Amino acid sequence: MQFSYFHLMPYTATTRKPDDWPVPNHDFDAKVANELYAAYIDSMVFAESCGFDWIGCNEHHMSPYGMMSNPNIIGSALIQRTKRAKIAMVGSLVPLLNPLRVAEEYAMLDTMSGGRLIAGLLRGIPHEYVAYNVPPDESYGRLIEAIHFIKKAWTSEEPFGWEGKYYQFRAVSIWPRPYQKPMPRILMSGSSEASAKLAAREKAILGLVQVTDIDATKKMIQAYRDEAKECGWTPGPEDIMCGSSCLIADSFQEARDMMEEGRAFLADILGGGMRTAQQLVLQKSRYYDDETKKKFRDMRNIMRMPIDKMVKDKTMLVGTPEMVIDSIKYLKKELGHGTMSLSMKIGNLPNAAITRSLEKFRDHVHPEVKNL
Amino acid sequence: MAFERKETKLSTGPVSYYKQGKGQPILYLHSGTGVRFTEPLDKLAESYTIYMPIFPGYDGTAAHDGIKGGKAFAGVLKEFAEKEMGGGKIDVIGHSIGGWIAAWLAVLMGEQVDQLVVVGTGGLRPPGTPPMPSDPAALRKLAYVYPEKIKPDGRTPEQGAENRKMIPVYNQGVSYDEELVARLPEITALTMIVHGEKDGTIPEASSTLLRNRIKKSHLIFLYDAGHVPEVDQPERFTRLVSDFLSRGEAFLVNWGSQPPAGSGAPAAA
Repeated sequence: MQFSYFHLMPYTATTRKPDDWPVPNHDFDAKVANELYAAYIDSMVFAESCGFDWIGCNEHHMSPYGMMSNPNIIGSALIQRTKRAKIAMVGSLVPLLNPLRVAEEYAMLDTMSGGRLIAGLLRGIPHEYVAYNVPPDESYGRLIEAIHFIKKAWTSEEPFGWEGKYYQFRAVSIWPRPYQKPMPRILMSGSSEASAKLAAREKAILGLVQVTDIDATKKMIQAYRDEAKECGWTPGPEDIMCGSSCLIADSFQEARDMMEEGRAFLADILGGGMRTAQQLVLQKSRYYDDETKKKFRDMRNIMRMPIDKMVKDKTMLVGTPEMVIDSIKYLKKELGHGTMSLSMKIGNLPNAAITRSLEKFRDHVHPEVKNL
Repeated sequence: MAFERKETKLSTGPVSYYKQGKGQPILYLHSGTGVRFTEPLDKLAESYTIYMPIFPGYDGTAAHDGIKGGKAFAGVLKEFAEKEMGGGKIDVIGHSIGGWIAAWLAVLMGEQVDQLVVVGTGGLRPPGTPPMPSDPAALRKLAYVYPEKIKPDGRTPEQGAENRKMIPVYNQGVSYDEELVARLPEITALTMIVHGEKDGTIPEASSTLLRNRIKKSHLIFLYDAGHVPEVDQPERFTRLVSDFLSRGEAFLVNWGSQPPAGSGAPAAA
């Protein structure tokens, strides 16, 4: 099994409980952020030496929830300091962006890294559409067209133009082209059945960043497998990534207490403004169908879901190395995925605790699960 | 406004054709299915005079003994253009097998063809590419993204089958026209190569070959369209072709909603 170290890069030096959107940035301290960026990048680089095969970045806007408004900039920094790990962009929020720029930047990252890019092409969460003033109702249409365009930009043997519904380009010939041939592996979200099917149609890695319900996750994976079969291919374990929050400590109690505090900070401080905007989008648009909308409402409660239940369900990997090994084995058996994404920086969890957690992963967990 | 049917006598025999519109002449060469009256053709006829010959042998017309293969027919069309289209420069649009013949015409007529548009061009299927299915239903499935947009053409299934029987007369069983490939660099016309992004019948390599061999050419992928973009995406196809024909090379430049004064370009819809 391969492991991905996923990071949100939150801005943690705030105690304000925002409920407005966008989150005002009066309190932002650039010196603190400068230190945080350095610490986070150090942590992501350290993860490679702890056995992680991927380092995961992601895109969020206009809140302290995440400071990677352009994850490719972080990816570029990581490429310079890592040798082996894949740089997993999980990922660019394609409908918000110029897809030509996405194709170009990803080709740059892939070339600079010698073919270590995992190219996440995602739709994102609803509030990002407020931030970039893109109609949420167009998100799927834009995503699908942009993916087709990006693939063409990477692979076309000749300069070309594109006459689309949302995008028109009359002359495209990107420099550089991607290092990986014919193109970098694409990753797409599988947060709904429709998304999972779309990922299968595009022959993308199915990315389930946060597994919260084993049965629901199985359903998504099955939808992905079924659709792939319709399209004439069979996904292997390497085509499925499942993720979870994780903290490894000497005792369950120690890990649990820290995680509880980090999650409270995430729910109350980092996630406040986002929820306001999300509610607005969900009420005023067709961003999600009704079933997914309900699921999303449930998802909002995940931040407050009791840790003990999640640990018991093995959807949160918190505890001793033995407990985490046991949970990873269980998840592998149930879900059949080939990549496990672990997110350790939850809320304001201390960076030192995360370093210790990474060391325990390196010394105790990874040797036991890497060959699963 | 509607297409008017006419007839002319050429060296190989009589040729029926449809004519509509006003303005600079465009020769439109149909696909192996036969003449198709589409929304984009009506729109183009608002600014151009469109001449659409019925390939001899199609739709009940007499086949010509002197026409065997795309190059031979292109020679006849050259005669048609000189006799019926005013003798000056013309633009040419060709679809599928019509695109193949259009490319030959651009070779044979040289600078007399001002601008060339080829769509889902036939005759350039690289060796090793699987052939198109012969079953009409299977072909239709590969050719259209939105088959429900096909308007009835008034032909019975038998008439459609008779038309398809003429395809070997025009392609002579050739799937990769090596002679044309060798001569593509002779084309001087400013060329736009249109390829439906979901065309399941013509390989993308056929269009990239054209882009590679024709000096002044542009390849455009039409999103969410198959082999017949005129049917799958009529508005998008019209916008693209109109822009190319009216602005020439400058169609690469985004002029926003207001084209520069004197450019002759229509404002964007």
